[in-house]
Amino acid sequence: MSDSGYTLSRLIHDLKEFSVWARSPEPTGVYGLMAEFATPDDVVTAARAVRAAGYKKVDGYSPYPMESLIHELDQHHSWVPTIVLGGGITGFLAGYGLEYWSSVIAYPMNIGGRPFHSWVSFIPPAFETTVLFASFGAVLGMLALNGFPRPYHPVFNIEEFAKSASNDKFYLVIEAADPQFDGARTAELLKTLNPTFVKEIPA
Amino acid sequence: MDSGHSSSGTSSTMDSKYLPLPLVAPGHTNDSVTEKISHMTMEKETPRAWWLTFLIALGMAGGLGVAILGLLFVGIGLWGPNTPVGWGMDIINFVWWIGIGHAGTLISAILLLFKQKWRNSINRFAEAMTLAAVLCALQYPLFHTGRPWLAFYWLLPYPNTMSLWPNFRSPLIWDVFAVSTYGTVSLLFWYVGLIPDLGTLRDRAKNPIAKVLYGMASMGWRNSARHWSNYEKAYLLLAGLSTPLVLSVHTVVSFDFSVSLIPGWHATIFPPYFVAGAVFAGFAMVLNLAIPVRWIYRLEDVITMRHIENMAKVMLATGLIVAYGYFMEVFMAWYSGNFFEWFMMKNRAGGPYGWSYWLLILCNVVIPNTLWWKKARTNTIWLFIVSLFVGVGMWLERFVIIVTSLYRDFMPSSWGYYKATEFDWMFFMGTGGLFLTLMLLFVRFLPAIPMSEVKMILPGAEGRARR
Amino acid sequence: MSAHPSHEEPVAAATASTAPVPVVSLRRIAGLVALAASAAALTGFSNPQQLVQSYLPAFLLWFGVSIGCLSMLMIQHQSGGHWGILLRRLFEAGARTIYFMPLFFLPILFGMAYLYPWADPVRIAGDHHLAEVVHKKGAYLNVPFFTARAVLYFAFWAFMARTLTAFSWKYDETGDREYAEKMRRMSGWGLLAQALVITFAGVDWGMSLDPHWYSTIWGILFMVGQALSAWCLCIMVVSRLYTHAPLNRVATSTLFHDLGKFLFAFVMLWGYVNLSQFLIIWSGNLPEETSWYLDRSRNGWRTLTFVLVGLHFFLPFLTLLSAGLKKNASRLAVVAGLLFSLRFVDLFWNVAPNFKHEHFSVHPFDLLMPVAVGGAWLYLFARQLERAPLLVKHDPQVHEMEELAAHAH
Repeated sequence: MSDSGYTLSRLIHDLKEFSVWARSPEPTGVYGLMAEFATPDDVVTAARAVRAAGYKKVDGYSPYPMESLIHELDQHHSWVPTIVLGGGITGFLAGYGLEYWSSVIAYPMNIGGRPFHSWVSFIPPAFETTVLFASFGAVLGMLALNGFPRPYHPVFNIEEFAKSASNDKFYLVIEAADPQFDGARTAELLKTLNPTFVKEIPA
Repeated sequence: MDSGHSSSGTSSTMDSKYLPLPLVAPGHTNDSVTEKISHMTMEKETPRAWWLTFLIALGMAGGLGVAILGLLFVGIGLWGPNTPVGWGMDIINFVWWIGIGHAGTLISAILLLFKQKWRNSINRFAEAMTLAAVLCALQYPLFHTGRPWLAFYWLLPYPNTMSLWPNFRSPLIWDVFAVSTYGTVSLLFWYVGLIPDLGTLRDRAKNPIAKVLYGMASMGWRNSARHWSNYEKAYLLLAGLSTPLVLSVHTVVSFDFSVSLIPGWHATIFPPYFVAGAVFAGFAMVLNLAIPVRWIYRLEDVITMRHIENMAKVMLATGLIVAYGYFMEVFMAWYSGNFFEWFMMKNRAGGPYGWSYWLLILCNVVIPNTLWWKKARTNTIWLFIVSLFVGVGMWLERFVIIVTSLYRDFMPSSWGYYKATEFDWMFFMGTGGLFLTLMLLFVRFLPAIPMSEVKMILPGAEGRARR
Repeated sequence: MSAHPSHEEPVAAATASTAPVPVVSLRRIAGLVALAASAAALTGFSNPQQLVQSYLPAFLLWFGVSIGCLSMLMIQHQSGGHWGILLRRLFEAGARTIYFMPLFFLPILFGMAYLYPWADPVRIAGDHHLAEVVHKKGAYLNVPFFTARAVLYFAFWAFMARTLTAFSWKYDETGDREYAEKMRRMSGWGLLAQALVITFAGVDWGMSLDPHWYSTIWGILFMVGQALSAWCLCIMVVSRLYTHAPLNRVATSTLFHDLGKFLFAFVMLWGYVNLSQFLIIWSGNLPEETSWYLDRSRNGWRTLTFVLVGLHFFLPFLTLLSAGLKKNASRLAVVAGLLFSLRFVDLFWNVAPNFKHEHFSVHPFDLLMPVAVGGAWLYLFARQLERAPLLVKHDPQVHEMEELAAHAH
């Protein structure tokens, strides 16, 4: 498992990813290179080779979640669980706090002879707010980490990608922003990996 | 890495009758799955059967409008509940609808956690059913207040001009929290699951307006590994959160009754017994919807016999838990030596409403027990009939619990009788129409079967389902 | 129901089982512990009341492991799943210890008057409330019927354990999948019967300690508790066995992750069932019900209640949230071990206040008994484990698991 050891540089990288939607297009006018693959095995093998060659800004595309592709691209780590935990704790404190404050401090009232601080009765609503906030954490966290909503992305400039990425084809993209990126050499590497095509992505 | 049909490698040595049926009919590819499911949405002409059912459903839903208008002009005197039966069809129907929703969450969340691959074809559909059912359920607590626009200050905790706060020691307030959380989280879960498929529909849409709408709804999804990584985590966590949530919802609903002192309501078994009953009724409703849809849209190759049979098994199992609950109620009423408990039980089975109790036993215990036989589980017509019985039976269960516990309690001088009015029935039929309308719109405009998840369980996919 | 009982004596599969070292040492150590602790317990015969009252929670704990193993065995036959293959032989061995449980039940049968007020004529004569209740419930709570029911329960359990094991060994021997089908079918109706039998046993042996009190969820409390006990014990045992043949062929960290997730679910379920019972009785506040919780919220019992909530629920809940812990067999076993000891505290908390609700005290025998019974139980368990190979032979899932394990290494 490679998801051990989360370094500071990785954190900074992730924070930058978070604002990806605001990034202006690369001045070169090239976003990167795209290779299309017909089978899941090809894209996984290609991802492994590209990573081995030292490329960092690589992303893979598949019509359904592929453990092996995520694994090869070292993208296992996700901040979503942490956000969910934070949401849950906040939700519990908010829910129980609201109950305590309104039943004990703001509006104490004897109902059925039960104590103002009826902690037994306070469990169900506090549980619900815990789940509610944690779920919002999961969804909003996932959307934010993926940089959504994002109406435009250069990869859609490739017509085949816009048609088939969500259907049955697999893609690998190396960004021009990668320090190792070199138009011709990178394309050469991709072409050795059994793609159906390799194309330059205009930004 | 052959994942979808894990035992196929060793199949030659084994008798074929022991092999599990496939989850997706052989011969399907990623592309054919997309084609098949997308075609059900706007891409093809609307089937005539769809229009016919839609018009009927819309007409029924119109009845709900009339019933609501009447209620708002006249008041809740139009409904049947009166002393001593202060709760009638409004809460029966509320509990019934909420319960039906639970199967959707069970399929999408709990079966995901249990790595049950067979959920991957039916979860989207079941989730949509949850949302529609919750919406129908919501009509009852909302309108039983008579003037819903005034209901907010005693239901919702917000600083108002009268400085009033809701009573958090009341299970009815727990209900407000539980049901609203349930509705919201189900919506989130459903939407997150839809995002990748909305991306597919966006990429396929020919109509520019549809393309823009699907594009906005998919938020810019582009199937990248980084997206999938976050998405999978979020989806799994939502499943993990939904599982205790769905248990808590019907538990809280059962608290509405069990924290009181009425014999027949005050029973500690109520929480698990209500949850099981909810799933039981919900699976019956899934089957009642899935069997015709599967037939009309020719979906036999993605909703296979294995799905149908597994659902029948879950229905049998939850039905047996419910039967255990009935039995425990009778046994403990006797064992307790408590006069009122035992009177309630005798009155329930032998009093003026005795017919409802025995009908309930027939629908919920006798008929579902035919599902012990594989022949019954794989016969879709019989299964459809059993599911109808279960739907009726679970409605009767709430009727029995609510009405027969209330109409004769401790003091014979205040005994009474309950009779539902035409408006009660109109309201109920109306929510049925609303439910059908929503389900039909869903089948027409959104992918009713999750494409990306079916692709995951195709052979050689190397997806999450591999483990 | 074509699952027909096999009438021949079940024999271990043809391959003579060479039990892994940990099983052999478990048998030896457990046997010695049982002998030593039983010898110490002999000193208690001057105080038979204390002896029997300390014995009951210990019996409920260890007998519960046997029954929990039987329940889990049937559940895994019905549900499938790799965890079921990993633990099947453990469940079978645990279930077979039920053969000896009637012997373990004898002290309770002979000491009934010390345990159950309704079986003690002296106490009935001196307490008219009790006399009234016994009069009302006499049709159920009387010594002959109680004994007859116990015989039925044990007969059912022994039959299920024996038949399921016989099928399983036959399957190993012949490789005929019909036996797998038989086990699956039998587990279907078996689980239904099991639920009822556990419920009545729970009412008889636990709930009737206070003849006034009743709670309809009681049977489910027993089922969940027993399954949890069995699960904890099996995690502890398998965490020692998975590095040895034959389980090392199939064990992976993913499997332990699953075991941990189930443990987490069981802890949640235990909390859920207990909270449901408490919340409903607390809200109702009826004198005949709420006194049960009042007994447990006074003096030392109150402290024990907090210990139980903290260590039986919150601690495992919080630690099991970590995926890393669940994947690590030895750390998971630590949590399981803690929970297993808390299972005893839970049963003690359920049972003992009926004997001494005015004050809280722990007699040395209260602590000695679970060790003595446990030693004997584990000795029997280890002997049963030695009777068959620890991994089933023919289930198609075994090959899948072997492939996955080979891939993971």
